[in-house]
Amino acid sequence: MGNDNRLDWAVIKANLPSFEQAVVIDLYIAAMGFVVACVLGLMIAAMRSSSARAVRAPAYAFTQIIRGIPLYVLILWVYFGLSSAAGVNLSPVLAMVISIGVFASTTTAEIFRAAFAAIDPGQVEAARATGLRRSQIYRHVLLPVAMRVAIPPLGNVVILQVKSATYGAVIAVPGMVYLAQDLSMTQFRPFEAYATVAALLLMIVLALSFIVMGLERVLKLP
Amino acid sequence: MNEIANVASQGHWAEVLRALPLMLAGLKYTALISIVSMAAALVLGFVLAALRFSRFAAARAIGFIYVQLFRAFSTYVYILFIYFGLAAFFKIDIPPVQAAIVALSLLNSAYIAEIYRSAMMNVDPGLREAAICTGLTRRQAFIHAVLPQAAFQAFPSLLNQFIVILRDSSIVGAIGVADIMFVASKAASVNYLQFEYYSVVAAIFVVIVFCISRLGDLVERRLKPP
Repeated sequence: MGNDNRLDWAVIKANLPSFEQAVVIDLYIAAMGFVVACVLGLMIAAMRSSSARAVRAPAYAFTQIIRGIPLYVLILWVYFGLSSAAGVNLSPVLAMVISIGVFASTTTAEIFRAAFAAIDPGQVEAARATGLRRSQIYRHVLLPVAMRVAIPPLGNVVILQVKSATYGAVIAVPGMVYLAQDLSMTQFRPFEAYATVAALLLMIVLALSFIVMGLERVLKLP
Repeated sequence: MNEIANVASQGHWAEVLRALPLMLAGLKYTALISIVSMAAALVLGFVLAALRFSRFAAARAIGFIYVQLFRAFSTYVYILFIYFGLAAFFKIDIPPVQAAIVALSLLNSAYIAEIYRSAMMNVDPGLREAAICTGLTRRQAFIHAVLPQAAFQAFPSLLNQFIVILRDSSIVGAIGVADIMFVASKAASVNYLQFEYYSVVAAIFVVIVFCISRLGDLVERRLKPP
C-alpha cells in the first residue's frame, strides 16, 4: 500500500479521466477569472485616470487594499465570510472566479494604464482632424494600438490565473489539487498524485508561455 | 429590530478583538517564514542569475530551465508537493514551517534571478567600459560601477517580491502552521464569525504591506544615485 519507495503510477493511470475533468474545471475557473480581472481592471484604470478626485480616490484605495491581501485570505473571505455575514452563499467555483478575478484586477489595471499611456497623442489629434467621432477614435485608433501593447502582459495574467486556480482546493473546488489530496488520502500515493499535478501545471503553463512569446513576436511594432 | 442587530454585530467585533493578541502572535510565523525565504531566495537567485550570464552553454541552460520550471508552479501546489509528496517518498518528516521555507525560497529564487538579470541588462554598458578605461580591473568595475547601479534598479522589484512572499506565506495555515490565518480560521469555525475574523486578518496584511511599500519608497529615495 505504498509503504515502499518504488513508484507506482497505476493509481494515476486509473484516474486519468478524473484528472482530465479536474483540469477542465481549473482551466474554466482561470478563464472566467481572467475575464473578471479584465473587466475590473478596465474600470479601475478608467477611474484612476479620471480628473475627479472623488472617482480617483476609491480606485486608489481599492488597489492598495487588494495589493495587501493574500489570495488565500481573499478566497476564504469571499467564500465563508460573505456567507456568514450577509448570507451570500456562492458556489465554490463562483467564489474562486470572483476571488482570483479581484486578486488580478490591480495587475490588469496597471497593464491597461500602461497601454493607454503608450498612445501618441498626435494620433488622436490626427484622427480628430480627419473628422472621426469619439467612439470611432476609440475603435479604430486607440484600441488597436493599446491592445498591441497590452496583449503580451495580459497573456502573463492568464498564466497567473491558471496558477491561482490551484488554490481552489482550500474551498473544495474539485480541481487538480483537490483530486491529488483525495488520491493521496485514499490510495496512499501522495508523491505520485502531487507529481502529476505539478507535471500537468507545468505543461499548461509552458504551452501558454509559448503562445505569449509567439504573440509578443507577432504584435511587436516594426 | 435594527438596534438588536447592531448590538449583536458590535458584540461580534468585540469577540474578534479579544482574539487579536492570539492572532498577532501567529504573525511571528509569517515574519520568520517570509524573512528567511527572502534571504535564501536572494542568495539562490544570485547564483541562478550568474548561471544565466555564464560563458558555458550548459550552465546557461540549467539556469534557464530552473527559472522556467519554478515559475510554472503555484506556491500552494509546491508546498503540498514537498510537505506531503516528497516527505512520503523519502519517508522523512518535514515540519510544515521548513516545508514552507523550502518551497518559498526555491520558487521565488526563480523570480529574483530574473529581477537581477533585467537589472544587469539595464545598466548602460558604457558605464562598465568607462570604469575599465579608468584602470579598474574587470572585477573592480563590476563591484564598484555595475553592481551599485544594478542594485538600485533592482530594489523596487525585490521589495515587491518580498511582499509577494509575505502574502504567499499565509498558505502555511493550510498545512497546519499556527500562523495568523490558521488561528483566525480555527476561531471562526467555532463561533461562525468568518466575515469578522477574515476581515481583521485582511486588514492586518493590508497595513503591513502598505507600511513596507512606504518604507521602500523612502529607502529608494535615499539610495538614488546623483
